[in-house]
Amino acid sequence: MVHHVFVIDLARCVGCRSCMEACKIENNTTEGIFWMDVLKMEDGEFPNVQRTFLPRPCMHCERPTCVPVCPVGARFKREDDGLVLTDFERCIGCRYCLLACPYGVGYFNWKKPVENQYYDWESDGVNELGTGNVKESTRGVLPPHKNPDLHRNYQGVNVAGGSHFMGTAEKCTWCVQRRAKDQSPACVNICPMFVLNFGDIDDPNSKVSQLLTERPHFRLLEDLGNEPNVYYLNKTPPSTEARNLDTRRKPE
Amino acid sequence: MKELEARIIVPLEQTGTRFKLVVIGFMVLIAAMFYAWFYQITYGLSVTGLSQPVPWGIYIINFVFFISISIAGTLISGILRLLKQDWANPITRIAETVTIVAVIVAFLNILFDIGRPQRLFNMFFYGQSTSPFVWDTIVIVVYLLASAAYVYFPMVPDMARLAGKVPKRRFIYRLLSNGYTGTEAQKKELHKIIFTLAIIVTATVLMVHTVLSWVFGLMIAQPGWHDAIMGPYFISGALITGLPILIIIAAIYRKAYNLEKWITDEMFQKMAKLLLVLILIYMYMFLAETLTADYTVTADREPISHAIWFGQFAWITWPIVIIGFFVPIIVLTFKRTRTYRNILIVSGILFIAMWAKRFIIVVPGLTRYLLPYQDGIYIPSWVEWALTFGSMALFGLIFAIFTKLFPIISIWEVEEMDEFKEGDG
Repeated sequence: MVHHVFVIDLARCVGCRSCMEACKIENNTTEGIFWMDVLKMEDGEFPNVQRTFLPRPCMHCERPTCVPVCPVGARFKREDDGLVLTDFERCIGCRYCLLACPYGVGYFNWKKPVENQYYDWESDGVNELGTGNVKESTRGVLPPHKNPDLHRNYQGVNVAGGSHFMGTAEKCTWCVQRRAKDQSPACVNICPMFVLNFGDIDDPNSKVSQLLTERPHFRLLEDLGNEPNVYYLNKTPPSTEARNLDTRRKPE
Repeated sequence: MKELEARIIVPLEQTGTRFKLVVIGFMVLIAAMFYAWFYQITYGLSVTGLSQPVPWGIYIINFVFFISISIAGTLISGILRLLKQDWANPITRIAETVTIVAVIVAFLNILFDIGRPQRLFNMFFYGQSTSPFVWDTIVIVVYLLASAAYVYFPMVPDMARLAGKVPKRRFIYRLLSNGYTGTEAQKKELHKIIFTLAIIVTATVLMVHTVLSWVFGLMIAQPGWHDAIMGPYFISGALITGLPILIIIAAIYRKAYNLEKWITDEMFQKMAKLLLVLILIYMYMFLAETLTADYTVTADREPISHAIWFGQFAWITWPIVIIGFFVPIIVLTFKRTRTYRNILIVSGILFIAMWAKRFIIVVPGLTRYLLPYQDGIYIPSWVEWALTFGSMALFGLIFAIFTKLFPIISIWEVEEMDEFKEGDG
């Protein structure tokens, strides 16, 4: 049996957040939801200040705390590959899994998903793409908002989250729809700095195994006993004093 | 005893203007609640103040609050009955009704909270034995059924008795009296049933509040909640939430239906003393919890403790401790200040303080993550307030309707109490 893990090389990360962008395009997540997130942090006091980045996918833990708390079994750990997934047609939206996760990877669909949510298709004024209206800027090409792979069932369950049902909980799936085609997650493919590595930890010749034998590494909040499957290559985890530099608003 | 019977029949047969005005007031709030709920179902939970770092807000607080209120009935009619304290007999029925109505309204708040209320039945189809939510559902359903039986059985003799006297309700009373005529054998049987039910509700009430505390206390990812004392802490917190509300409701009935002779001043004094003891027990738990969590704080707990006592939430915490706990303790301790009016004021204070205390238990821990994310803020929106006040109005409305359908004082139990006293003296 394969045992897939993420190995994230923190020394390489420049905080470009391409992985977040790729995740958005692949998984069509709604506004304010970041299945892949890169924490921008600042640590220490002036003049010894350090700026660090921490990519944070779902940890797909060996002992996930979000699974036992789910009252309806919508959050489950898939037997054959160990992915922790959500059955979107069963979730009742109690948000207990969001609270049970120490890593804060759970998200909730607070509102109905909107097509082209990031672009005002009809606007003529200034927008995210610069000046002019969106239609002109993209030369009439509709920004992607619907990945057909997400609307399929995998092993008989709707786990890819295609329609992003309002009122259900969701989280990173490690691109379950791409795993079905034996591709690595979208964020791994796009990373320009080769920060993200994805592979089988049980295979001693895989890149992830080699990285883990060569370099010092840690896992986040290891003392809680979740046994996360995401390894970070660095000597020490970010300190508890680290300050987040983002300003994130709640979607309107 | 004819006098009590006559008094009790009055509200069953006539409806005053004041009653109608109160009911209209409740109806307006409930209409606002349904409008807000419809709005929320249409646009999703984004219309609430809830957001990513704080996914649970005042719906869960209301749920905990109403479940806490429900302990009042079992305390007065179950625990005191088992302890053979029959001074509370005249309000046992009011108390047990509080239990049922509170549990129903609490359940409604869960419907408000979940994102997909239409899928709630998944709980029964796919219920997972590992989830504290499922445990909670099971004990609450058992508790509701046991409490419903516990309201019904002590009402049977009264139903039999009033069937002939209230023509408007004859059919339903005859049906509910279930052939009871008051023979010795039936009386003995009834006492046995009531005693058994008292044991069952007392046992389940402890389970209900303990399991509710586990919904929070078992979350290792929430340093603000992860605490072994949560069980006893929730039970004692529920006692000082439920009793004040029972005192207020008993006072309202006493005034509205002129029942001063049965719901006596002495009874309020006794309830006030009981309340004082319960507040002191709660203070003890509170101190134990606070010291354990905040004396030498762990790195995870530190920002939460700071937010509660000195930061963002200090303006709620300190008034709760000073006005909500210390003032009531002082007022209830001295005989001179423990007047009927002051008891009611203190009950009102505790009603608000205990709601706010639930806010302090649930929300501050959620605003901080274990990893360095942005801190969350939570400001409830008008939708949430509308649903909160609406559910409180619903609580009042069901209560008001209940008084029109059933006698609010257990006539036969009060009679038995008096017979016992006469025989004694």
